[in-house]
Amino acid sequence: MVVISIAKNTFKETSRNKISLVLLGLSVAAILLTKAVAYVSPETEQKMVIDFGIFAITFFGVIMAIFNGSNLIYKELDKRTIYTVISKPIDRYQFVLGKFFGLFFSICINLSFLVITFTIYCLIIQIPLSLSFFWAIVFIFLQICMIISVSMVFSLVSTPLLSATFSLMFYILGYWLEGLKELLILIENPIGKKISEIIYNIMPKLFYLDYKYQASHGLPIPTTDLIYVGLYGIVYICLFLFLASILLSRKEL
Amino acid sequence: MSSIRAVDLTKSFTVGFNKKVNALKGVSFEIPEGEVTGYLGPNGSGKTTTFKIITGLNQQTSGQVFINNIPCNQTSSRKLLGYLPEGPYFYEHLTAEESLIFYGSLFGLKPKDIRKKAHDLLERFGILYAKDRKLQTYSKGMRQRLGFAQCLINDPQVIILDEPMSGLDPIGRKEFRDMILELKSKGKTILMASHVLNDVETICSRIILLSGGVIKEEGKISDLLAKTLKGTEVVFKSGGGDYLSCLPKGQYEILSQDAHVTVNILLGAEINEVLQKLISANHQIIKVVPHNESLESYFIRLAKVSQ
Repeated sequence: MVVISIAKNTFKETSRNKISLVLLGLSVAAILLTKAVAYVSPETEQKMVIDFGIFAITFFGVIMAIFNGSNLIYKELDKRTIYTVISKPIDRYQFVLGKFFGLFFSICINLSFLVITFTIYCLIIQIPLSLSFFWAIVFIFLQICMIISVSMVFSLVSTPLLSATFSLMFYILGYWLEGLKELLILIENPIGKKISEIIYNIMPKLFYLDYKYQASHGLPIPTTDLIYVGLYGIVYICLFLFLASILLSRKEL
Repeated sequence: MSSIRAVDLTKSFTVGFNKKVNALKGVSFEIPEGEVTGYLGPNGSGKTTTFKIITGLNQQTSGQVFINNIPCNQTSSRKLLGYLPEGPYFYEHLTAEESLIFYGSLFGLKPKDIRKKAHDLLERFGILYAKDRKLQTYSKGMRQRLGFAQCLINDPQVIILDEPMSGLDPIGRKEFRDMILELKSKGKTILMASHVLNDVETICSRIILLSGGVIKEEGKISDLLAKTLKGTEVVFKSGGGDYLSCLPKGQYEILSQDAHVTVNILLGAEINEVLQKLISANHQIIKVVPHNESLESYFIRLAKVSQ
């Protein structure tokens, strides 16, 4: 109940944010321009339109998650609005969960609007969308959850600017790790190799959650993959939220 | 029975790399049920730190605070607690009504009950007319009123007020004083910090005086000030004749000589005899009261001594 109340309040706060409306407008414009991009290469029109559509949806979601996630708890501490909340009979983990779900639902609503816009647009321009496209979208939502949760952790130990930078690095590294695995074979220095291996094993691999290729080529995704990758993402989200709760509970207000 | 009980409370902060600051150094007190207690002290004496520990915002280094016998680090201890922080900050995107509904929901109250309670409180604090306005348009005084309103949304048994009169005009201060006294009459336990000592003297029956993280004095205001008794203050209207001859030689000090004469008859002088002499000489007695130190001068004196 308490988590829902905090989530509702966070939802109101983030959805009344004018920057999110501007970003949403830009993303809608980008979606409507996908057809123009496809003119560059008419033979791969379907792939280009879907790729560009997914890019616009991902771009909006990631920027919103990083921007809002980095400010989410920091702003509460900085503006001291947390005083009148934590002094009520609530636990700090409930506060973290409420903030997380509030922002997630706010981004969800906007992303769903983008997905519906893109689906209708594809129907109009007669580009067929496979089931894989919708699974790719589900996993974009999961990636956004991961970014929100990790940026909440960063925002509890640094400023919003640093936290946003770290979160962006987290996102980029999550994809870059795919290449690191191939690089590992080439590293000769044993210490360097060990460090790289540790980074590779600890860091969440966001590229696991990336189904853009299957979506644009209309390829099926095995159900077992969906389950394992889904669980993989959820475990990391839980870990980051747990860490954020611990950090907040140790924080002097 | 005591509503708030602090036992050997200490709080240390690390400032910079390794500098330790002891904000509270073994503070113990008991706030009796149904009393209004002033928690006084100069800036940096540890008042807000104590409040933050009681309300779960900070954790004590050692010791414990019990609210209705529940340790303050248990979430349930805050169910019957209301807290008005100093210069309360609110979510600017909400209206006053939305704010109170949000705070009420954190206590698990029913939406219907919260709405009614929110309406009543907004009306009681005179901001019902602005209930649909975003808080970013609120003045400091209006925010303070809303702060007090949110503090009462759960009908708390124990109320912590940190500088409740701050930002209020004289009318607002009077309304807050009346509100605190009304809460007292309903049996609520109130612990308040304030630098406006006249208000403290009017509202509080007891005070705790804190300085440098240590309690310097504690008790009923009347008892504490009785210790500072300097004599008996006599106010009279002069009948025209010489009144100095009625006063005991070397045992009085004239405080004022306007329409009325105010003298302090020092301890040791026979007050009845002085009064009889004044009456016989046709001087009209207006008032006879103990001549104590005021709470303000008492506070300043103690604070200076402890510095």
